[in-house]
Amino acid sequence: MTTVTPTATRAAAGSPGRLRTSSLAGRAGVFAVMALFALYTLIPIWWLLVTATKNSGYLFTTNGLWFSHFDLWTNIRDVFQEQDGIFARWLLNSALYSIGGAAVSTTLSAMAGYALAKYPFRGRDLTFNVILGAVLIPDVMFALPLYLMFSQVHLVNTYWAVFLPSVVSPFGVYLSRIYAGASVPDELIEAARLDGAGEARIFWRVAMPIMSPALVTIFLFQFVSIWNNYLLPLLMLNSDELQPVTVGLANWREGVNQGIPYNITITGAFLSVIPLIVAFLVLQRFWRSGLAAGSVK
Amino acid sequence: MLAVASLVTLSACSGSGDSGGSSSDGKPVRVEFWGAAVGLDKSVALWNKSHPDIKVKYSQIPAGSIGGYAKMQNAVKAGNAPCLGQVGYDTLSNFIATGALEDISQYADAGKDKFVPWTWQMSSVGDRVFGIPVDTGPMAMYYRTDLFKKYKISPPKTWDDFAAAAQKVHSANPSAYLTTTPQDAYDLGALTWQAGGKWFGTANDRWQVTIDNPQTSKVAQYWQGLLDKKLVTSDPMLDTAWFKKVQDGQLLSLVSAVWAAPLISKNLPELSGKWAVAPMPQWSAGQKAAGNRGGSATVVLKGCAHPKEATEFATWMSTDSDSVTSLIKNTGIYPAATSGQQLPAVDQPSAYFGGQNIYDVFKTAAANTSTGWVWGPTMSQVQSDMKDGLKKAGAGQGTIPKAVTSVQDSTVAAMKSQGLSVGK
Repeated sequence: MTTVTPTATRAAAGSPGRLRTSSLAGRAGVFAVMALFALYTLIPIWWLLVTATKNSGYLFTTNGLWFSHFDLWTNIRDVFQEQDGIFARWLLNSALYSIGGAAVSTTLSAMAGYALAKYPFRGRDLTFNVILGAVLIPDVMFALPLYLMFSQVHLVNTYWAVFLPSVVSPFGVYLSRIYAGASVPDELIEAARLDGAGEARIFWRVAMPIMSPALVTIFLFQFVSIWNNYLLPLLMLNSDELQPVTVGLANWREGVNQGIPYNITITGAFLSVIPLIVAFLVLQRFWRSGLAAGSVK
Repeated sequence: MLAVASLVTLSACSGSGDSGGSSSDGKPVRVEFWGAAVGLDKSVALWNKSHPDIKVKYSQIPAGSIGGYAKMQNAVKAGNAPCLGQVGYDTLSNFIATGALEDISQYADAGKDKFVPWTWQMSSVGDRVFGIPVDTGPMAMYYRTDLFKKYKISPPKTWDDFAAAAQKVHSANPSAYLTTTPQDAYDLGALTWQAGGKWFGTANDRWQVTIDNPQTSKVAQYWQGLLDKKLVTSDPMLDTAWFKKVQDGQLLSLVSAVWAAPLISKNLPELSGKWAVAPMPQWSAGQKAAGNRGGSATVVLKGCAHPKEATEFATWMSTDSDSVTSLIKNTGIYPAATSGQQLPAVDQPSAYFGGQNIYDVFKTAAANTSTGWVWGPTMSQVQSDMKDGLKKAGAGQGTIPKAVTSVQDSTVAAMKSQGLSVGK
């Protein structure tokens, strides 16, 4: 989308009169498209926010996109009381899987990516291509084989069953390699070696800080994908106490016939997206520079 | 997800980690139980209090439609399956076809007479019993008493009366409709069930598929007729838009199962006292036939080390009066056990329904639901194809009878492609 404006400007550069109108029209077009996308993503969240403030009596009988009676606090209290307060447990589980999984995964990706970019060894390209191939396979496809493997080593229905698969990120390795290759100069590593730094020290002290924009991107990607993961925990975990919030909320939605009101599930869904929004807002600056770096270089 | 599951054809290995232990060494037998319904844990707690020799461990897993069934099937393949699982009647055939269930006839047969007959038949194939019925979804007609009075109609006794009432309502107020068309395979199936038709059967070890039978055609043509005259809407039932239209007086009635009652009363609290329940309209005057929508059984999964104890618990859970009372209160079920249907929890007047004891209607319906109905082994395919067909019919592209014939063909094809033998 961002490439539209410069192209339009360049094409019209010959005639100053057309430049203004066409770039203006171009901008307006771009703006309209972006506004449409923004609406498309924001309206469901707006609906979620508005609906989370209604109690069941007004849920279906008032305008879905505007407030009527403000019961958000009561709803939140009810969410945390439903099923003996298990919602807090689910949030905690999600946080544990996401933060822990994303942190370990980012570190491993950085190490692997750095090694692939900076150390020539036999089979390096083959290794990288295999990892690249794994990027193309959706995570969902791994869930069942993983389940069968974890069954054999008796790890199903434990925290590890969800945590261990979460620390692997082929995309993270790919991005780390590209970024390390482009932004960590070989001269810098040579200089560090001449100064007597060991390889581990060079990685932690020299390479890691330079790679940090890419690492934030990887962290966010992993955080979001682990937070939203559904099939893996569904298969691996039997105990309600170990489930992340996604599986828990899906259970509640299906429990409408058994007396779990819609507004509890909706308010729960609203609460469950807040950590994602917070993570994005806090890490937004790094996120943008990281994305651009990966795409250009 | 089911597609992913069926890609893998590993042979089931026996033995299950958590259900080890035996009664011979004095330790209690441990039985694991996976269910999706909220509140089953309360019945399990009651059992564990009164039965120290058989310990049941309950895990709440996601509902079948959102991955719970795939989870059970995969656990059977991996040899991790619990002894007991909760499975809807419509999915039992699928579990039996994939060999995921234990035959529990020798332990279960004694309990046969405690249940509404069709529910027992639904959990068995011939003489082989695969599950203990838990709940049912007998059907009736919910209607707005205030609006029926306003449009001067009485609860229709026959489907002809029903069509006449639909005409009357819509002529009096062009924005009001008596009801909505059947939305999916389970709606249409229940109406066919009432009409005396059958979609599936088995003979000589082969499946028979008769979705396009005369009764289904009759039902399909009836609703297509109402749709053609624009006397009913084709919008989904019991979703946000439905509640809004009911609230605004644009929809007057709903033919549905007993579990719709709490949905209506919880989501439309301000319509308290303005609802009543009448038996389903009949195809010929004087009949009492009813259909059923929903219901489930407790099954013993393949590889269970203690099928006898597991069956004992399952039978107790579905018939013990304390357990069933708890299931009615905490899970919202309507019991499959005949004794359960006499319990005070499902035999009392309801203020929301104007002081009517609506359960009288449902109890009669359950007793008048015919026993021959069988669900097929590929219900998720049937459901998704039927939904597509009915949605198109509702939008005016195609008709309900056409949807029925196309699902007949697609179902036979799907079953054959799964290696099931199908005869006509």
